[in-house]
Amino acid sequence: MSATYLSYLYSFLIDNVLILMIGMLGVYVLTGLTGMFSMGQAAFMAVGGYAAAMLSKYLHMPLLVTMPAAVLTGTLFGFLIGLPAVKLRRDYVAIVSLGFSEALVAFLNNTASITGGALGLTAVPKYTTRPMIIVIFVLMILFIWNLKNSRFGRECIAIKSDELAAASMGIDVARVKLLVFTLAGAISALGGCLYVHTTTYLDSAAFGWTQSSMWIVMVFFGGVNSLTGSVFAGIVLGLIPEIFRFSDALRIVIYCIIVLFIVNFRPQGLFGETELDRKTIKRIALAVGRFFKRVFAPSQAQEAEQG
Amino acid sequence: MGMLLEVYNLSKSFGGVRAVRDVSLSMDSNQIISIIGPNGAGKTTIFNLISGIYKPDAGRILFMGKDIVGKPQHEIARMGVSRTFQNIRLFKGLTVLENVMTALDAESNYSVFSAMLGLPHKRQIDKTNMLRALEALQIVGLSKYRDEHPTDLPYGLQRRVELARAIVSQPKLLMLDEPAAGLNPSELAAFIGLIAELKQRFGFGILIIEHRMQVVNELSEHIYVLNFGNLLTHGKPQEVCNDPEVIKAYIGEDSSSVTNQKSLCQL
Repeated sequence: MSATYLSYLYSFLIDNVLILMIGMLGVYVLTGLTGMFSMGQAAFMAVGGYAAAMLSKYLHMPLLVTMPAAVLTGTLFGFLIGLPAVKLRRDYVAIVSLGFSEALVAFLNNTASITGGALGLTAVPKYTTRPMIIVIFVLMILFIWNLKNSRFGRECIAIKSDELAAASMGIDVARVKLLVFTLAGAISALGGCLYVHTTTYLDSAAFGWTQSSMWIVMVFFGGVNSLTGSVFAGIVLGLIPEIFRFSDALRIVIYCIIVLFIVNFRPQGLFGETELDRKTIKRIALAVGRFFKRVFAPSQAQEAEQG
Repeated sequence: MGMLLEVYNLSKSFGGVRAVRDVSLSMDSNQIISIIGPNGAGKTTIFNLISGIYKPDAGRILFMGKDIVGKPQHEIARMGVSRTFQNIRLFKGLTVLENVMTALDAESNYSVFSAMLGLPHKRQIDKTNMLRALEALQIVGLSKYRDEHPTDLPYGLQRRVELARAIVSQPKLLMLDEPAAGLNPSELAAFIGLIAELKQRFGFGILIIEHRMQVVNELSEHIYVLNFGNLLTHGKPQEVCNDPEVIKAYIGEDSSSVTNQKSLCQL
């Protein structure tokens, strides 16, 4: 592996994988934590992306304006789509969100004079830098980590596990669901804003249901309750198509096989419910240490174990 | 100030099945009341009506003098009505401690932003709640299982996690749906002691659905007997378990011989 290839992978990781993963974090909150399936989460990314793109391209607004505007638009749309969705059963939530996303793409395609339609919107100002993306990405993970370890995280998991019991604990199920929908919209819209200011190009085709279902795959691949699992899965699955670029036709096949293997042999996801926190890292480090001791100095290890 | 719970002429049908017909009951704080009756008598339906899962077709339910019919489940819970379920309903994906904490989370008032930023007052509230949850776990004797997942625990312990979750918010009315099901005799004795102790300590009203007559007779001050959705009779344990109508409902029509020799008190 040459240095140029590595640096290419690095830039790919940040410009494509990390930005799209901010959109995935919305799916993590919605599907991973609360158990609501959104088959159209990418539409919220489009909402944020178009808001940021149009503000910066036509009105020459700086990032300090476009980013809050994108997040606000995502919040608003999340709230509006959430209002009908939270009253429905799980499977219907998926259909509502899918309908929203397809409708949005159709809308974008038919308003070509402002949105560029299927041809896309080009020459959007590039505002982001790689360190900036990394910082925002890490911050988002921290925020969601904190959220998971708060009353909201517990309420979400309770709702996912048993809505009726959750309500009898005094949890306002509809309110929490609406909150989560709104929050997921905001998070994904933030991803859209970063996306458009990085690629400087935006077209409606990038935000169809394939992207949304990719995110669901990532969350399930990593383990539904595990934020670190989802992030790990997002990075691995995001990089796989690039790593196997040499075998162009096969890379999608390889990707699918890996996903199938996980779903079949570890249905709870790679990490299951476990988080890669300090405790788990310590446990893994100890296990690895014991393993190496046994491999490289078997006699000493035996003595140590006996003593 | 009226009674803790007053139920008047409660009725509920599911399709053609009249699950609960014209049932009235009342209870006060610091009292243990039992509802007994054969399977399908409508006992759990009454719980579901009181806790707001179903809406009654007719009748009134007053909790501390306030009409709670039609209020959503979570509001009734927040007023101080808490319950356990016949088939255990603990939250998968949360530890034992977190399960108990969920009953307090609805009351804690910090915003989603303070949660995401981990602000000090959020941490303060969560810490207080954690200590309260630990105390509840200690009362039911489960402190050492705090970080386990409930699905990894044996059945009897899962029941106690549910109990801890139900009492942690210090409700005014505690409803237990067949809490002693599946317990062995020594667990049963310990359980009866625990419930009596809880009543002493917190003074809440406890409404129990139970099949095990030992639990009912030893704990309750008053028993309501349901059969096919109707209130058959009610009274003190001694009166009820010697009542021939009750024995007929439990053992069957053709049990005159049994009736003469035995009462439900010995079951």
